[in-house]
Amino acid sequence: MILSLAVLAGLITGVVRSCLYRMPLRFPALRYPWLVFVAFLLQYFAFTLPVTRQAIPDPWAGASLVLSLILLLVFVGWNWRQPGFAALGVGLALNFTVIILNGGFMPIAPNIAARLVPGASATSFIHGARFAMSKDLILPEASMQLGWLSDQFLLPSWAPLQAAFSLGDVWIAFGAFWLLAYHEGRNKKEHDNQEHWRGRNDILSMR
Amino acid sequence: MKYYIGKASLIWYRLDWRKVQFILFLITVLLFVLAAAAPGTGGGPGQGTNSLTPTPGG
Repeated sequence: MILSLAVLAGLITGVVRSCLYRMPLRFPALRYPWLVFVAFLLQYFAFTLPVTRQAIPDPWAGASLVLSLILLLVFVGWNWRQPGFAALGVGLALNFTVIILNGGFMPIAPNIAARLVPGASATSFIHGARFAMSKDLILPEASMQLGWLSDQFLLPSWAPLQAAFSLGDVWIAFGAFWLLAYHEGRNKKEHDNQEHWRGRNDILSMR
Repeated sequence: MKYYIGKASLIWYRLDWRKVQFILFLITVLLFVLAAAAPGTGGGPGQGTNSLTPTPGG
């Protein structure tokens, strides 16, 4: 939810800014976008599509997640200079680090998981089992590596959908917002320069 | 057949590539965010609860 809100807010801000500055809504051309599609497909088969996610054993699912995050890191490396990619890269690196140190899955503490399942308590979960076939793994805080990077933040209780998210997710949400809201990057400087020179030429032609 | 080829080429010719590029860009960003982030949602209905301990008698 935090991620979809960030994308939506970034898109709205980007459109409003382009209207305010009278600039065309022109997003940067990203390099090697197919890496993102392949990375997404790997996770789709391992965690979303019911037929495949039931069939894929946990170690392979963890390996798929790690491989897809490596592909995304390569993608970020190729597009490093684009606006927002520094934040996206930091978030991705934080998630990748904690996932790789905890057996290929994002750790989540039982007391946090209990807040997401109605009627469950912290003792209801099997330690070391995947949380609802997702990218998350139930681990007590004492057993976690870099627990402060795990899914430890919760949305406010009044939010319509409950979710736990990590510090890396916050950076990714911020990066996505920045990319969509301030997409013009260098284009705006070029636009300002063009406006500046156009103004000077107009003055000179008046003389 | 020729009619459909003609129709397809007309659509291809009239396609606004900036709009296509914009839609592809948005899809790429969305997929990136979905794949890079790992929020725990509990799976929602029908996702299975393999991590829950079995309740006595159930």
